[in-house]
Amino acid sequence: MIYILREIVFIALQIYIILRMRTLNGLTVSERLIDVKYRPRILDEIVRLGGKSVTICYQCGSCTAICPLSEYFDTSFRKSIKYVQLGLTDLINSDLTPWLCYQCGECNDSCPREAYPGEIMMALRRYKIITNSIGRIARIFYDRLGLAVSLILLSLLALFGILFFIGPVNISYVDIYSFIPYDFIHNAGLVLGIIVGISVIYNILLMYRDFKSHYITGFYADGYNRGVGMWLKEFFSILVNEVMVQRLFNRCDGNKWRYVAHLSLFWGFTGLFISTSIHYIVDLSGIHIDVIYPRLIGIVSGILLIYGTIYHIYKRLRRNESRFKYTYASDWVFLILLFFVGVTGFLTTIYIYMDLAIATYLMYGLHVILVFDLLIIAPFTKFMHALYRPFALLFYKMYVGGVEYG
Amino acid sequence: MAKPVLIIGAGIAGIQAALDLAELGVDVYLLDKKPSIGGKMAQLDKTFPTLDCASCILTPKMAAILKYKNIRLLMYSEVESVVGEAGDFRVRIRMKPKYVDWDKCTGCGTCIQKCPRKVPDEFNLGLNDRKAIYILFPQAVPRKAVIDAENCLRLNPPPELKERAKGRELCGVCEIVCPTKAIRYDDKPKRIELNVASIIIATGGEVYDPTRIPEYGYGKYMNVYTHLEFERLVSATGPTGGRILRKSDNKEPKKIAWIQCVGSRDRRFNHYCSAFCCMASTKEAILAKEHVKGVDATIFYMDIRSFGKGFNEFVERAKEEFGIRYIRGRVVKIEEESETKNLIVYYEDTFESKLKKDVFDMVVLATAIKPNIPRVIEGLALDEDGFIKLKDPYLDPVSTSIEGIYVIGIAASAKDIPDSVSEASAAAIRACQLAKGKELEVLADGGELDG
Repeated sequence: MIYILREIVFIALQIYIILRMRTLNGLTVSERLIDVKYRPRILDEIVRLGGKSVTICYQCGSCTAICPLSEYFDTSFRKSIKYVQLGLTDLINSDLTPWLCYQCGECNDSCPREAYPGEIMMALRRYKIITNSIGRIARIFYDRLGLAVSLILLSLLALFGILFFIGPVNISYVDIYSFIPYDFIHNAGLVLGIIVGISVIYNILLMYRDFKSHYITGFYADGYNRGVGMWLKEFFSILVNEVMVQRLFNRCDGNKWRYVAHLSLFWGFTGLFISTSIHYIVDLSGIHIDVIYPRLIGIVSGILLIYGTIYHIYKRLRRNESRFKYTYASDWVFLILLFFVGVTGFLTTIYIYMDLAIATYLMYGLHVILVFDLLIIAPFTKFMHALYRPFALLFYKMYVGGVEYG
Repeated sequence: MAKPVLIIGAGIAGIQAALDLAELGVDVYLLDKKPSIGGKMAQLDKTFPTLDCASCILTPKMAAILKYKNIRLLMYSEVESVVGEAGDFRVRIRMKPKYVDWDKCTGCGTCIQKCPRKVPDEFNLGLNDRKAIYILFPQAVPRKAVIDAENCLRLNPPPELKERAKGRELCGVCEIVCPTKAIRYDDKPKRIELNVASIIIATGGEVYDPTRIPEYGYGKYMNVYTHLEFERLVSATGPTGGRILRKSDNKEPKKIAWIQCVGSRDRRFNHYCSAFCCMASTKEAILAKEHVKGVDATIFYMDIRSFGKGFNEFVERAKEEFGIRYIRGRVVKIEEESETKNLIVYYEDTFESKLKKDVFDMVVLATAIKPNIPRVIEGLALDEDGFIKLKDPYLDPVSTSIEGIYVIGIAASAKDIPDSVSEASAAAIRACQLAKGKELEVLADGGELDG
């Protein structure tokens, strides 16, 4: 008995020592390199995902030096590119730099190798989205054929769903719910929302795990724990400054128009989400508010969304600025879906007010199909940066212990 | 009877080729667009890796040119057209008017003292002034004066002065003071036609214009220099008499930075490596350490390419003996402090992976070299970087796409002095074979390398 107890105490002591050792300070990140896995084929994957020129980089550090973020964060673009060149998967997975990047394009312009570091960052994001998705399912959407086939299949699925549930359509006057039943649209929305939500939470948790596992010092650079209060404080600070106002974006870019367009895209998307949610929650809880309020928010958000997408589509078509030069297929799909979701939603509303029954139903059907596509592929497209970035910022700030950028 | 050989460009490569050919008994025409032979090497202060004084090596060779009776100098001249084939080229040459009778001129320099007109000195890269009548540099060969017609008050008077003169001739001071009466204001360009067996192109290159690279602010910031400007600054015959002084306040700098690969190895500007800048910067940093006591010399590089004989040891010596700092990282932009005119450089120290900025008193850009191509030779193939294409870079490295025309020095590729000189000798022997009328057996064509 005593023998067993002694063993338990010993094991507990060992575990304690090991745990303490993991949080010892003074060990650098590079010492951790000894046991990293490496997979040279990652290079091909990054090239395929849009980082075409990752091999020609000669590691001069121009991108780090010109990057406006380098002033605030202890990040190095050059290092992220080096990880890819060496195929250090662990380090790539734990690297938050691609999520912090705002694509201002300064590095693209100052790169002596014309390696487009910004595009490599975008490729890294795509790589992270793929590796973090359940069963790497996202890779389907990063293949032109897969993307096209899956979009067609998803649209057909939505179409059949509508046809299956379609009720006795009232064509004498507009009654949306006679076209697609009330319960169907809301339940489908709820299920989709839960799927997307779980996927997002899973991804964020993966990012947290990878980031944490990378640092031998434990999660905090200086070894001091930061309490829940600080986490919350930083979280809300990021929510206000970086998500709602996007101050760093503005500071990084220096291009007011791109900032306005990006912000209006964000608020358009968010506003539509809010107005839909209000509609749903209100109906669920039985409180009656005038339908005009969520609809008003919807209209304003729709205009913002359409403006934002038009700006980005226009810039990406013109390709005269280095940051808009290369657009990946999945990015196009996301942007164009957003645009048409906005347009069809808008037209639907107009047709409702004009009381054109058939036109309304057709447009509304199209709108629902597009929204379905958009929501399904959202966790695997560029949309994810809206969630990855704030959390990447949060983890980074907690790691360093607060980053000041007045 | 051997036919003559024309050498275009009288830099170190052209001089060496001329000397070798003359020694072999071949008549040589040595042509240069400048009034003196010497080329870029004459502008250098020291050479790497031995730190020998450049003039001390070059000047004896320049003087030797004058000893040979079968070398004819065509100074201040340009090639206008080339026709014919190997063994029988007919070359038209335009000799620019010198406005001085070189047979009479003794190079005494009296006219230069008295000339009232000052213009920026291109030999010193505009760092100081010369007169409108000038000798290119003190060790010039031939040591004769020429008048820069564009800036001469007599030949090209400014409109307002011309109005006041009311038809009278202006100035004319040099004519008055010249002890041998060598000034000829009515000199006209001359055209001559040569029949030569072979042509050697030794036109060298020019420094790439760093104003095209806006992030370094060359031309905008006073204390940003190019390699060649710094070379003139440390040279005893240079504008400051060998003292390193800043343009802005005429004080000695305490911290100097060299930035490597400015315009070279840069896909936005020039693709190729300029080959000599790593060593040139190392040399200049050592010179700075020798000239200014306690100066901090830093070289920003991506890769140090010290491939030649004794080059690597030279870099090691620079690090250990002279304490020159080598920082791996490219300077991405330079800003100027408005009051002190000091320069703030931004870079990532890639050994520490940290963004850094540092203040320097002076920044020297290791600018790329661009070849001078004689456009008048039709059918001369160039490679993608703008250098003259070699017929066979392995077994026939001095031949161009045209038989009988050879290329040496920087016109063929970026290279340093030792390589240029060895190419010069190689081209000399090839040209000599043609000049003496031998059938040319090209090793590259028949040279099968199987067992």
